[in-house]
Amino acid sequence: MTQSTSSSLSAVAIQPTNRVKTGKHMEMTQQEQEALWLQQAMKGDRDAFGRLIEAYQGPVYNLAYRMLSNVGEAEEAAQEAFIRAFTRLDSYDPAHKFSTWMLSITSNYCIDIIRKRRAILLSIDEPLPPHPALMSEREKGPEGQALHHEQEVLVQRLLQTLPEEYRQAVVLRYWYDLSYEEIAEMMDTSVSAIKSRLFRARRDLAEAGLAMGLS
Amino acid sequence: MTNNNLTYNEEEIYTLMMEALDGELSPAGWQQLQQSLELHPQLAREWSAMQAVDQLFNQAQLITPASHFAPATIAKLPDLKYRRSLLATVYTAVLMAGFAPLIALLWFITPWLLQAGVPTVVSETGQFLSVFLNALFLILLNFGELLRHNPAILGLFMVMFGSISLWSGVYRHLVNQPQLA
Repeated sequence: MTQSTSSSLSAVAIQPTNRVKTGKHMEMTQQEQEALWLQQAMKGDRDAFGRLIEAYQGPVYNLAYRMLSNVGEAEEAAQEAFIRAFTRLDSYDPAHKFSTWMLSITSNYCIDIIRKRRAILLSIDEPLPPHPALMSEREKGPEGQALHHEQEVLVQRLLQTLPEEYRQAVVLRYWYDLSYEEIAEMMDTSVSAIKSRLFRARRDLAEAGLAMGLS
Repeated sequence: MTNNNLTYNEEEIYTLMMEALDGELSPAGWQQLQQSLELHPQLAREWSAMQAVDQLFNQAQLITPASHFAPATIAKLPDLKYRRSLLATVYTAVLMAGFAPLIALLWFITPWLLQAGVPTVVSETGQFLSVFLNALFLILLNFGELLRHNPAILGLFMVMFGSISLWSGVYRHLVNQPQLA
C-alpha cells in the first residue's frame, strides 16, 4: 500500500526516510554509514545500494510524482533514476551530498519524460488522477479526506500549468527546501536564472490559482 | 501568461514579494510592501493568490511509494561486476579489431621486405615522401598566390566562418530555451 506522511515535509524531505536525528553523534554515524554503503555500492554491491534505495525512496519518489503527476510514471521514473545512479556511481563526487546528486538525476530524467510525452499530454482542464495514498488515509474523516484530496489535486493541477524547468525549480524549492545555490547547481545554471524562474513561476501560479478560484 | 513589462515600482514590489515568500523580508520591508499594495489593488490581488499558493504548497504532504517499491527496484539493479567484465571484453575486442589490420599488413609485407632488402625499401619510401611533400608544397604555394591576387577570398572565408558560428550559437540558444508544457 502507498502511504503519505501526515506532517508538512518542507525541510525534512531531503533527509533519508529512515534517518532519525537523535543528536550530533547519531547524525555523524548515519553519514558514515551512508559513505560506507556508497563505497560498497561503487564496488558493485547491490545490497549496499539497496540500503540507499530504502533510505532515499521517499524523496526520490515524491519528486518524480510532483513532476509527473502520475503514479505509474513516477514509480518507473524513480526506479530508473536509482538504476542510472547505480550504473553511474563512478561519476559521483563525494564532495557533494548524495541526496542532491540523486535528486538531480531524478528531476532531469523526469524532464526528459515530460518532453517526450508533450505531444500526448493531458489537457490541464481535465482532472488529474489522484495518488492512491490520498484515498487510503483512514485516520481522517470523510470530510477531511475530501478536503485533503481536493487540495492535493489542486497542487498537482497548479504544478502542471508550469513549464518543466519552472516546475522543477518550484518542487525543489518547496518540497526539499533547497537554497537557490543548491538548485542552480542541480539544474546546471546560475543563481540569477533560478531566481528568475521562481519569480515567473510564482506569478504564473498566482494567475492560475486566481483562475481556479484560489485566493 | 503573466505580463513581464514591469514598471520600476512594480519590479520593486515584486522583489519585496519574493523576499517575503522566501522568509527573508525585514519588518521595514513588510511595511513598505503593505503600503505599496494599498496603492496597487491589482498587485494586492496577485499577492493574495501568491500567498495562497505558497501556503498550499507548504502544506502539501510527502508522497511515499508503495511498500514493494524498494525490493522491486533492488531486483532491477544490474550486476555491475558482470557489466564491467562485459564492457572490458567489448572494448578489448574493439581494440583488437583496430590492431588486426596492422598485424595482417605486417604479416604480409614482412616476406616482401626481407626479399627486396631494407635499403631498397627505405629508398623507395623516401622517393614517395619527396613527391608527396613537393605536391603539397605546390598546392599551398598556388593557394597563397591565389589569395594574394584575390584577397576577397580570405574575407569570404571569414564571413562564412562568422555565419556558421553565429547560427550555431542561435541554434544552441533556442534549443536551451525553457519550453511550455
